[in-house]
Amino acid sequence: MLAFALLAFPVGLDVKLLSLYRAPSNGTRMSLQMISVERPDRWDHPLDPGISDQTLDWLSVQHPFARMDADRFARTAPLRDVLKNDCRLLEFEKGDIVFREGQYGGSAYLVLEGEVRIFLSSLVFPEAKRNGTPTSNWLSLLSSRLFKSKSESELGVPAPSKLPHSEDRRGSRRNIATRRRRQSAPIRTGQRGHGTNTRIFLQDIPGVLGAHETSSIGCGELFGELAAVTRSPRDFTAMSATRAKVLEIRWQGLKLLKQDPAFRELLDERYRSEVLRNHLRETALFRFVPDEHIDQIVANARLEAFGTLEWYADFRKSSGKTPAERIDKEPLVAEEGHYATGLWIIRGGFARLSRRQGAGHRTLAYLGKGQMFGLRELVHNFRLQEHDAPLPFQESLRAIGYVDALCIPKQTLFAHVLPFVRKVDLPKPISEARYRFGQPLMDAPLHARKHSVDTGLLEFLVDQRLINGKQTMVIDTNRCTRCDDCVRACAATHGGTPVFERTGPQYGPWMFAHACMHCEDPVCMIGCPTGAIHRASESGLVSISGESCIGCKSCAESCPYGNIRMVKALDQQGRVKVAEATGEPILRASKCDLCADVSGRPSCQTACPHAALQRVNLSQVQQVKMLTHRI
Amino acid sequence: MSRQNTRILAWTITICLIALTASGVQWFRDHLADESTLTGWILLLSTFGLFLLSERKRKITHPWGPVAIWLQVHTYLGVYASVIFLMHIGWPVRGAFEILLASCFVFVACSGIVLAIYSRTVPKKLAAVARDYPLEQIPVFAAQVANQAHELAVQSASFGEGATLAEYYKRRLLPFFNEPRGSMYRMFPTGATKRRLLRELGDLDRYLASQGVACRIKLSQMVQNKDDLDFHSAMQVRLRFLFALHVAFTWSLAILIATHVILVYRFQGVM
Repeated sequence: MLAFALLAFPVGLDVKLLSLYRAPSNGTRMSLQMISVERPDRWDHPLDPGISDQTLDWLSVQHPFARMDADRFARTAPLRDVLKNDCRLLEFEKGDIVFREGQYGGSAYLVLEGEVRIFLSSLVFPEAKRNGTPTSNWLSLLSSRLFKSKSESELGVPAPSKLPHSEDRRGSRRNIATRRRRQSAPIRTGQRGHGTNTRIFLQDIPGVLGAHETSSIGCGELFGELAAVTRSPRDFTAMSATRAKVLEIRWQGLKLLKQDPAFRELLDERYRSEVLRNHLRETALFRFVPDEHIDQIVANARLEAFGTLEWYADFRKSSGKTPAERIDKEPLVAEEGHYATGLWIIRGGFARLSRRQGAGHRTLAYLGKGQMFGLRELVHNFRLQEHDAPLPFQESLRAIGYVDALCIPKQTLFAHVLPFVRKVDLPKPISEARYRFGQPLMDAPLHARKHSVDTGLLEFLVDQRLINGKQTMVIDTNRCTRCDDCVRACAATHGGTPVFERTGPQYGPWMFAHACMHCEDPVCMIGCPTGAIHRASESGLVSISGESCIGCKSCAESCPYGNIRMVKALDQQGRVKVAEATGEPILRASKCDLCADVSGRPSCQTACPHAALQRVNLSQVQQVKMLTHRI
Repeated sequence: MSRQNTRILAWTITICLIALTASGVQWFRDHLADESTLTGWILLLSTFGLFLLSERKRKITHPWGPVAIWLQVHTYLGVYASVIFLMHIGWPVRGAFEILLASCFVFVACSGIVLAIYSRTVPKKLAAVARDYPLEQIPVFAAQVANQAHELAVQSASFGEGATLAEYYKRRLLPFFNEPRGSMYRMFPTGATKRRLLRELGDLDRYLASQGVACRIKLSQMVQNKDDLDFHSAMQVRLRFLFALHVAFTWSLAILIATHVILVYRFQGVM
């Protein structure tokens, strides 16, 4: 009763927290000392500070730079300055790895001398390990420590989407199985050099090349640009086949170089000739398709992009609209009830799979990279008897923001793909079609099956574009006591200022807090002129380099979720930096870095006493299911 | 392992530990040894274990596992320590110091139990409200709602439909929006006031024309919002205050325990 009696009086328990929470970042320190510095500029931190004038002269006469028209470049960013600041000359020995499949990278590579080989099947690196699922109770933690189970990657099995290919594509399936076993063995690597010159190299080059199919990249050819531009993981591993000189071009520079038509032409040509072929070979459906048929598919396939890469601007505009208006605005890739004219394969971005429901549309799922649309209908039609009528598309596919997709026309699919696909790899025929030509449409019942994601939550995640988040902070408000231990822990880890807010959009008991989600498609990186906001190659963690950030606010303004804030930059002694010229404080971008300096989980998650706070990969529907069915 | 199974196992371990300690005490008793020394030291160690939670919270960057696990261990250790405490004290408790120490222990244990119950029930009540409000931002939101309500009431008087709504606002809603809720509400927040005000506002409809009714509906929504804010504030303050009391009395308990140990050994002539 004493507690209740005391409760009756106004108490100032949270005065300290009040100043901590929603504090105007470093603004409270304005009363402290200030220091005048020169305002940072976009090229203060070149990619290679040691690049010499001789190297630049040599580069400017190399292909394709020699063919470029220097007058097409802006006076503020001339070609020579782009080469000087956004490029780095790398030298590789035979067998050196340029980059690995699955790594994130913001650079494209241009071969200047020598030869580079790209692997069309997955290499299993010895150290490849996946972090275990975080445990939330003491018993699970104990058992996970005592009985470590081996995950697939630990066992050395390649990712399912990347299937090995036969050198002789007409070889028997037994040969292919034997080859798969050889390919799944971890390769041996070594390391040499130090710092930025560290190189990982293959130890048994002939053995690895013999077991894997590769493609050669010669002098003057570009590779790795797709991952840099679309902000997606690398699709393949690249290795230097001879001593090679390779020019690394960070994507800010690539964007500037694309102003030149000759360079754009180089990109487009390479895209169709190599990238598409490799992509098809990596897709499970095409694994037994012979080479000559792959050539036919490449010739007939259509590469199409829907929406814009800078989709965040449209997303902001659509925030006040009704769900029906928002869906109508989304670019339609394929529509239900229409002829199934081709198979769509998503190559980048997200697409909404929906069905008409009453006067609106019901979201069934969202499709990401590598997922297909229309295969069920096309396979059904492929197996039809002569007298049966074909089925139209049963669902609609719409681009959520931006989608990069590949369409294989029906005729090509029937002639060059489906005859080579095993029956077990094909979907079952459609027994209860919703759409049939010439028959009325019936609405499906609006209920979620057991163990499937609630339709409302799915709609919410797609509408809010939260599906983009790979490390989304989700708070179960049914468990959260609002103690703010998470905010305090965050502040303790980040020098007194928390880098997230315990508020955000909410659906049912789940709150999606304003913390950086380390997106699948980090649009915040698009406008950064210096590359200060970048993604770690292995973990995919999006972080901001305080040194390179010039405080242009580009990332904060383009983050569709408002998860990046501008704070006043401090020097190492805690003094506020002010611009010499204007006397105004210099800003820098601040956001959640998943406590990169702390081992284990982020501090906010560690600190939550009721395990209410989780980091969830919302780009995978499976993880959303696990979240909603947590016991 | 599911949450329920973990709970069952944790309770089993706790009960087994209690049974083991009880048999140890019985063995001491049978062999005419000093059983209170055994229970006293176990109690001291358990209390030390309970203190480790706050240490873990303080050193959050250390890789010592999630605080949630520490809290679970803290809870079951607290149950164990409470039982050992009952074994340790003689009945009736004699002496002012011993009564103070025992009262302090009982208070800490009870506040811990209440906190455990609240931390499971209060979040659900807070989540049932349409929106979540961080405690620190509630005064700002409340001021916003109060300003909007005031503007709306002033505006309603200009419709030419009479000053019914404005008068009601001044008489009944102005204190509701601008004054803090009473102490009873802070202790036991209920929706009685909100329901009464909403009913009274609804009753005004018969004296209002179309614009007035639209205004009244907005005011009703604001009453609901203000009540949600007050509810969040009361529940969150209650939890935090109880937690602060639990921690404060825990430190008092630590001092009293230390004094108790010194007194016991001084009395025995060891020190």
